[in-house]
Amino acid sequence: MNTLKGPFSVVFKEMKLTFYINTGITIALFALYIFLSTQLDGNEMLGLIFGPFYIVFLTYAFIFFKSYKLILSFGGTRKQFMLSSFIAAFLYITAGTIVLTALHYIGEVTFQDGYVFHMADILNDANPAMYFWVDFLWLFILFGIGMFAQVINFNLGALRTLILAAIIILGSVSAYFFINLTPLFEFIINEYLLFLHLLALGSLVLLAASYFMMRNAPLERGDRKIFKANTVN
Amino acid sequence: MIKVNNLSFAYDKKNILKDVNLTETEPVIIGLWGRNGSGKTTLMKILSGMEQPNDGTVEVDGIEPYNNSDAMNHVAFMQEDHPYSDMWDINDALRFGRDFNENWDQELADKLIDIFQLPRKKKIRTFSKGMKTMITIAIGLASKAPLTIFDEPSNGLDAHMRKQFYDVLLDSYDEHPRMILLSSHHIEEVEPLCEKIAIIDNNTLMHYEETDVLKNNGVHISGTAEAVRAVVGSKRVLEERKLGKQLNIMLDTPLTDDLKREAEQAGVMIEKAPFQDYLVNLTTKEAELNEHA
Repeated sequence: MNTLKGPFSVVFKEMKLTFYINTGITIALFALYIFLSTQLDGNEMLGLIFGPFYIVFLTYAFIFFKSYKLILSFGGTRKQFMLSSFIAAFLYITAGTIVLTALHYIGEVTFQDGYVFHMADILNDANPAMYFWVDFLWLFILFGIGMFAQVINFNLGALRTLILAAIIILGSVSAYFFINLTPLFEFIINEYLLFLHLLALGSLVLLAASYFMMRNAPLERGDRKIFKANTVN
Repeated sequence: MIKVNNLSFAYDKKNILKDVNLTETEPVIIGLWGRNGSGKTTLMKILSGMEQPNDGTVEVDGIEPYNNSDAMNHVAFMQEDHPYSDMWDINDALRFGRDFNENWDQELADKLIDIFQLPRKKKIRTFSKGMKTMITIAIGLASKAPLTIFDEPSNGLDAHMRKQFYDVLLDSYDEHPRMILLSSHHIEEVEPLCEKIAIIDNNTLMHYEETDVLKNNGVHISGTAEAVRAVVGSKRVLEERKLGKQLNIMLDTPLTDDLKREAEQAGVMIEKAPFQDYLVNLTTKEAELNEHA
């Protein structure tokens, strides 16, 4: 018997409801844009439809992480939890990308006036594969960031995570004020596709780090001991 | 089947388990008894692979369970408040039970759900404590894992449900003998089912013996202090209480015909002590001895 079947089916089910709700919200949003397009004069931007998917994939790990306990209590391992999460996330990212790309192209033929913004529009490349790939990369990047944040939060607990977050925010604000970021913004605009791939690579590194942090993770949130203490009776 | 050698586990600077040794090679129903905080749950978590020992080795059915993906086919650990997803109904829980256990017996699972009269389409989150315990029992038994562990399995069960649990457990064990570990801090709840009792206290396994041997021990003697002392002699005293001129003593000895005769001659009352009281006094005494050692 494949020992990954059980853990995978637990994670897949935990993620399913959120995915369906999110798809429903996105389709409802799309229907609203179709209606708005009949009310417009001229080719204005109606909005964006990727928002709900992008938000959910950033927060997905916080939603399905309860399956960690479920998997362990049914006899699965921490490694199986992580591998199952990665496989299930890959499938939902692919499904989410298909939904977004399909809606984008349906929009192109159904909107009477106006358009919805797509993250691939920055590239000025109307290639359908590129629209698919850009959404796929963004969902992957956001999932990786969210997963890493949740793994840190799970291992270190809320207090230590907030301290870490405060340090990162302070560092970022300082960088914004004291470092000339113009070349970075120029790079993002001029080399958008390269920038995306670098972010995806960073996300891959975060996922690998998450795996290594979780393979011997504590049972309860916040129980990771950084320094080993001497034991007493 | 179980081989635990010098197992130690510490958490937050405190030893939870220290130098635990336990070997059992036969299919048997074992009662694991210990007071709250004695380390029972930690031992069960280590046996199921949820926690990693700090020291020593643990083997279940020939494998080391921690982070071992094959462990799910050898151990099933059904926790006292076993976690279930808010989205799951009975059918989901049974499906996952099947996906996690290669020995899964769907026929038995369906039979147990019918016996316990659990509603298949209701979400488990809406179940009462007793119903949650029953679905946990059903999954544990249907897993037919070579080592099946139940933590406080009769918690939340009324007398009727408890009787049903005893019956299905013994039927399932008769049909498919395997090692079943029943943990409880109320020994009377699991003792009728167990062939052996493991007592965990003072962070270690103090006793592992046949239930009959342990159960025979523990005798209450009461009467005048002088008469009681005469009967006690050099026997080990577990508890001593004085009420005026009356002295009540619990002895760590079996209730034999010779002892009964001796008590009768001395004019003191003698009776078998409740098993739970005997175990509490036994572990208290041994803890005191350990403290002074």
